[in-house]
Amino acid sequence: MKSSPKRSASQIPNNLPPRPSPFVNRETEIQQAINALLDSQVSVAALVGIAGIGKTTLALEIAHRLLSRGDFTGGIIWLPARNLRSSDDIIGIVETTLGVSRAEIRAWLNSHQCLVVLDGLDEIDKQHESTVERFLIELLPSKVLVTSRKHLEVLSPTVVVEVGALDEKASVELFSLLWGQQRELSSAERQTAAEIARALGNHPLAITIAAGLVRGDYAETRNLALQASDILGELENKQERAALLHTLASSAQAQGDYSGAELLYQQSLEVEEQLGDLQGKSATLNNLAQIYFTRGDLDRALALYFESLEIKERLGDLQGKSATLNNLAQIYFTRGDLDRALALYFESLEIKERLGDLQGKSATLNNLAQIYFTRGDLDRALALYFESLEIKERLGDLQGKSATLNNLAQIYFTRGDLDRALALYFESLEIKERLGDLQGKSATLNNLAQVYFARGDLDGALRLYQESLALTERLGDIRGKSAALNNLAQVYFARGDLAGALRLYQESLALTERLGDIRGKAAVLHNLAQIYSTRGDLAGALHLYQESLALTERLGDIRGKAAVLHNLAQIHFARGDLDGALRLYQESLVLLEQIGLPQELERVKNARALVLNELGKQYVEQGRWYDALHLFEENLAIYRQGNDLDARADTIYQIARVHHLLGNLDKARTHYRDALRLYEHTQNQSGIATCKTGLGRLMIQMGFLEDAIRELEAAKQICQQMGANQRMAEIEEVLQIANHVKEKQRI
Amino acid sequence: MSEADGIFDELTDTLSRWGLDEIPFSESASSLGISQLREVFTGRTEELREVLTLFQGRERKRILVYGWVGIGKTAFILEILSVLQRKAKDTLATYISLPPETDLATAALVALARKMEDDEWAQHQLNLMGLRPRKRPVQKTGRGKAGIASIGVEAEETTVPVTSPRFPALSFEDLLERALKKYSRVVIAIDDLDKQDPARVRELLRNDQGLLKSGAWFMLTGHPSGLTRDILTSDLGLFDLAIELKALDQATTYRMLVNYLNSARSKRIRYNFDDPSAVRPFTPETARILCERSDGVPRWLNRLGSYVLLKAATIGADLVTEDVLQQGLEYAARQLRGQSGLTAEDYYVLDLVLEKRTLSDETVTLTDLERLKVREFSEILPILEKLVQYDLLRRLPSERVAQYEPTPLLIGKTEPKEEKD
Repeated sequence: MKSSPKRSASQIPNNLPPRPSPFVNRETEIQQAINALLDSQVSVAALVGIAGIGKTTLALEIAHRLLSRGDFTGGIIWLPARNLRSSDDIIGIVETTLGVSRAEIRAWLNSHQCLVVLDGLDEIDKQHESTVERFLIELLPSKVLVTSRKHLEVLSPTVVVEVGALDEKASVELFSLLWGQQRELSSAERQTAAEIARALGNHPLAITIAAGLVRGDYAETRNLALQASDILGELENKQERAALLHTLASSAQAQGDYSGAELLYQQSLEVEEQLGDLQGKSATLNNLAQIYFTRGDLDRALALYFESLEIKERLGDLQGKSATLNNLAQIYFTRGDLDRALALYFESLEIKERLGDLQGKSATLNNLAQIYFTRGDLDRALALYFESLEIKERLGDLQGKSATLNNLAQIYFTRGDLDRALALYFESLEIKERLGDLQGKSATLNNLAQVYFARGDLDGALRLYQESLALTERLGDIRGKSAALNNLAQVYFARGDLAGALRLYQESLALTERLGDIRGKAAVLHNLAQIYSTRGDLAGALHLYQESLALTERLGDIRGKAAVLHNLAQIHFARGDLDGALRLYQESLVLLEQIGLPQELERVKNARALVLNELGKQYVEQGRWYDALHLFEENLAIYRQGNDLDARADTIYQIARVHHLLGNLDKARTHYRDALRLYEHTQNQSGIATCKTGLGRLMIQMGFLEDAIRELEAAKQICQQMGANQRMAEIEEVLQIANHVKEKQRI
Repeated sequence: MSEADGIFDELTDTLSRWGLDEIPFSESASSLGISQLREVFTGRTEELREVLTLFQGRERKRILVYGWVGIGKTAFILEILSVLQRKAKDTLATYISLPPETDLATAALVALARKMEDDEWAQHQLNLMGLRPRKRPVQKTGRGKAGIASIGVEAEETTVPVTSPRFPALSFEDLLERALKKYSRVVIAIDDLDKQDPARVRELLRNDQGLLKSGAWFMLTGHPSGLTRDILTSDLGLFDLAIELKALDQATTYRMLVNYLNSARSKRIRYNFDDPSAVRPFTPETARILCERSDGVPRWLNRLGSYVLLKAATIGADLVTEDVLQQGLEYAARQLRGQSGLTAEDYYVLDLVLEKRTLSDETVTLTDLERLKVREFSEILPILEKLVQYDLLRRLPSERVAQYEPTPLLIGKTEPKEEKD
């Protein structure tokens, strides 16, 4: 073989994929390979190592380096082995790359120095193996660079370059590069990176997946994971195996593939138990528990967390213990057992303080705040969030800061302070963008949209929700997508586009079912039901609410259950089933009292009071006066505690009416006057007229005709101003009677 | 001799100077014996005549005695009962004050059963209801009215819970049947209906119509507001006679005062009404003022009289002069205001009425009510009624309005009398 003079890279024919980036230090291996390839005695250099260890990347890097060096002037041919079926495939690629016809290949190869890179020799189907082998032989005297998982003695002489795990420095660098993308990592983050990399046995593919997870880039992670799952069987080192299983499981979990994740975690558990790796086991238990939690299997989740907790305590792992306490607390919270959740969080907080773990402390403060928020104790929640925020700022934890800003914003939002809420959300959004946290950005966009929605700016809300939705699709975040669809639907609903809203809800529903996300499903069913209800399809709405109810029961979600019961009651009420409505309201009230949610309790009580009033009116018509009275009095007791004066006056008027019918004229009079006084205060003209009419009639019965006429005239005038002609006519009739009696009296 | 002994002797001394064995008036719940009632019961001649006339007849009658608080309804029916007891031997008369949460039939049953102490079945009924049967009626210190307590009958303590039988009306009828075997006439007096909410009383009467149509005579006391007119004019036709007890006129009040004072004097001394010494230690003038202030309401006469004499005794006055009377009246006002059992809320309401001089469901404003932490007049009605029971307020007799004003007892000083409608 003549040694041709070197050429510049641009002149060398090749079909190399782009240079790998990032690429971390593998100098040893690179030099070994290059030396081998440049050695005239060697025909083949083989890069051998376990799956995902970076052989392909390495081969590519080597090829590019050689390209730059200009050694193989004949050309560098990249053959991805898995695509090769026959010699024809190989010839095809060679033809195209070199720009020569089939017939001329032989001649070319003989006259030029070429390099053939065969990536993934071991991936070639058995049946094609011999074909490829033969062709490779024919390719000589070109040099061949082969990557393979196993050592294949295919050609000789072969120099084998073992490709092993990265050294620690390189692996940290890889992780950092993948995680941080464009920016510098803080030292804390670098440390975390080192830990993770170490845990993963410094295995490049595992590191890449993990980094992808950390970044929240699920789509890419998914692809890699698919790749990686092929190689599990190869791993002999149990540690690495467990680590990779764990990583794959996390990836699957993030994708929403819960059954897949569950399987992988359980496999991981097995290995960890074999290894006696308690720490790893408890971590896996935690992750599994989370899956069960998302699926709604709270009992199982609890059991696993307790198991994990026990291990942590045995290990004396306070940090881990407090994290698990937090997880447990979250479940109790979901169940509505707020007291227990509080207790656990406080326990966790105490540990964090003892450990001086500020980060953890602030996270737990956030959790505590959330509970107080749920209870309606907004002041306390605010105080806790501010405390947490201060810590985050001190720690320079931007991610955490933005999350806490979101929480604060939510409270202001609940209070109705929309401006402040907006300001905080924007601040948070800015941080998320700075951090490149797409997941968080999409969530914050959602929140912002909510505020715009509350302001009535439907267009603005729509825009933001759509932006958020686009992000979730980009991220492959199914959960987020289903939530975004839900929110979008709300805007359509508010616009009156029921069909559009329906469509979106159904899409969201489908996603929740795919995820096995029971909580989400219950929520969407609930919203769907509202649409049906608005459309007048009460039967349909009923059916959906009942489905949603069943789910909340399964979840042990007391708060959600109470809300659905409330809506169910309203439907029964709309259908005229007053007893049914009351029964359901009662059920809802009992639950709300259990969890202690004063605001919602009041809302339900008020809704129930309306039904009671209707029922009372029915009783009056049926002649069940004493029963009606008891109902109205029950209602009045409720209204006396609230501030809705009109509703209160309505009820007092009803009571007056019943007493009037019963003949308790003294009481009737007092009550009419009480109702009248309240109506005058709220300037409820209709109510004033009604009361005065009642009083007028009463006065006639009692014989005080002057008073009667005076009241009736006043009532008539009001009806006139209101344009209520029917009522005016009725009052006129009564006035006639009064005047008639007055005449008679005079005689 | 201790200081207390000294004080006691001093007081006894003063009273004996007045010619009294004791202060005959009562604050509220003490008892006067049968004989005492006979001594102090004054006036009501027409009303007595009306009622007693009925008792000359054979057919059973239902009588309603109504009037404002303290006007003497209980005394009246007890007087009727005691007359019957003395004069009509074939009559079984019994009295009960209506316990709270009890229906009329049960009350009637209890009253009758208590009187039939020899009847085993009757005693058994009492047992079932959780009441102890008695062998003999006991002079019990019950919640009498205006010092006139239960005579030879049980006056129920208001806090005794009675377990109603399942069918009280039927049980009553059974018992009545048994009673009518021994007596030609059974009279049941149920008192204190006016303590209950008038609406509830209506309900009670409605529910126990059958009772009132049974073979027993009934005397019930009632509340004038709303109840009476409706009961009488309704188709139910529950009562044969409704007697209104109005305020006594001045002359009668004066005579009542004399009777009270006489009842505390030694048996041999009984003054005539026109004898100035009859009202000793009052002077005729101060006696007159006292009667005026009492406004013809026997209860008020008792309360004022009692406080005035207490004050007079404390300062050791020989006579109740105008000055002493004044002091006594002021003392009364203070004591009445400071009665135990009044809560802070009660005082808020009382002060509002005092401030506005009168309070009604027509004229009260939302601001007034909000001061009292309420928004409805109905919410303070129970307090107003309570204050009436405590003799601090009175309700004016009008159906147009529910109007309350302070009683003359609260106004410490003597003021020129105002016209009332």
